[in-house]
Amino acid sequence: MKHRFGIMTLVAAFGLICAPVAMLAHHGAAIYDETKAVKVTGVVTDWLWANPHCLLEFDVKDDKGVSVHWTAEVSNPPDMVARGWSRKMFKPGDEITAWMIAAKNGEPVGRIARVMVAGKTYEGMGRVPGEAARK
Amino acid sequence: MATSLCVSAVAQTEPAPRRDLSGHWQPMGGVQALGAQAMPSDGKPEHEPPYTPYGLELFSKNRPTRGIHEIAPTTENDPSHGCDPQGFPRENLFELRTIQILQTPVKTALLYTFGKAYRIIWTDGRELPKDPDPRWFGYSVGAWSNDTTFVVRTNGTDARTWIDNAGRPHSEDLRTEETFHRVDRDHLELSMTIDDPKVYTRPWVALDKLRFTSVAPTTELSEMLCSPSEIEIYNQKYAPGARQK
Repeated sequence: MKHRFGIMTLVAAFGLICAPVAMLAHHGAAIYDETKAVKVTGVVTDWLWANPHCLLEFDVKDDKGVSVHWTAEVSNPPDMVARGWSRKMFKPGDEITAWMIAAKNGEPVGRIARVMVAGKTYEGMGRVPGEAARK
Repeated sequence: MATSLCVSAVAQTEPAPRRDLSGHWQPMGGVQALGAQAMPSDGKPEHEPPYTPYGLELFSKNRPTRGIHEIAPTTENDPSHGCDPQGFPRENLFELRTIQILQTPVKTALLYTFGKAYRIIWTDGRELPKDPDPRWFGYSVGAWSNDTTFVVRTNGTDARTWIDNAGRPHSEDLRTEETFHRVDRDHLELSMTIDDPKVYTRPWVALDKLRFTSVAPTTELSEMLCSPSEIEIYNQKYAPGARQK
């Protein structure tokens, strides 16, 4: 799986070798397709409030009724507290709508730019593609 | 992790107090995801550090996740992502958030939000160690050059650390100079120079008057710690690609 992502030309120039999975964390934006928003509605299965990034897990049914398990990140807890998020804002079973950027390779992972839960909308990490930057 | 970042800017500005940096300070643009504020890894030639051949060799071994040399997360090797201390000078050059500064007659302490780290800057007149055993945060001494400018010199930093989030390397011969300028009561500016002749052909400016604003003395610094168990969960649950092994 280590070469599923498009590795930049410079890496090849450096002649780099692969690192173990233990070093995967806290990546940049290179894995994402930042040109388009992915909007899904699903049901929360877990909410991890932790460093380096908080993670929301949820199930989304596709057009054929097949459930797809998504994992999506936002920033760290202090950053999210500043945006009105909290450790208790999601619980398993909650229905959510998420606006995300998703992985280029098609995996159901993403970064949440906005989420709606319990009738409230929260801005997440970054902006929704196609929308103007927030002031 | 439910601590809150209670930030309320002080409204009025008055002259800087004499030889006093104490307080809580909120930086503007301190996260520096692309590398040092004054030398971001953005592809501009003027923002490429002046590497020596040895420096370039060291840099080629670093695989950062941000900047123009960023690579896929499956092949990165940022030491801080395994919960090594990010150390100094990176503590100033990545995730620089609210800091608290405490002063006594013989030392100044900097308390950092990220990593819940602190530095001690000796002001008792001692010199920097001549042959120091490297430490994550090195050794620091400081002195006032005038009533509002505090200059800090540091050596003895651990070469396992990166200078910034773009993977700029350093040797154990690195020396830094920080200049804290208290502009007025409510504003502080921090500049920092990197000097490492083994790795760079000339000193370069990493911070150029990074601006801080005073925040309330009751501000509680958030807890931002690297936890190996949280990292493990993050990787298992999230790291793109890992789930498809």
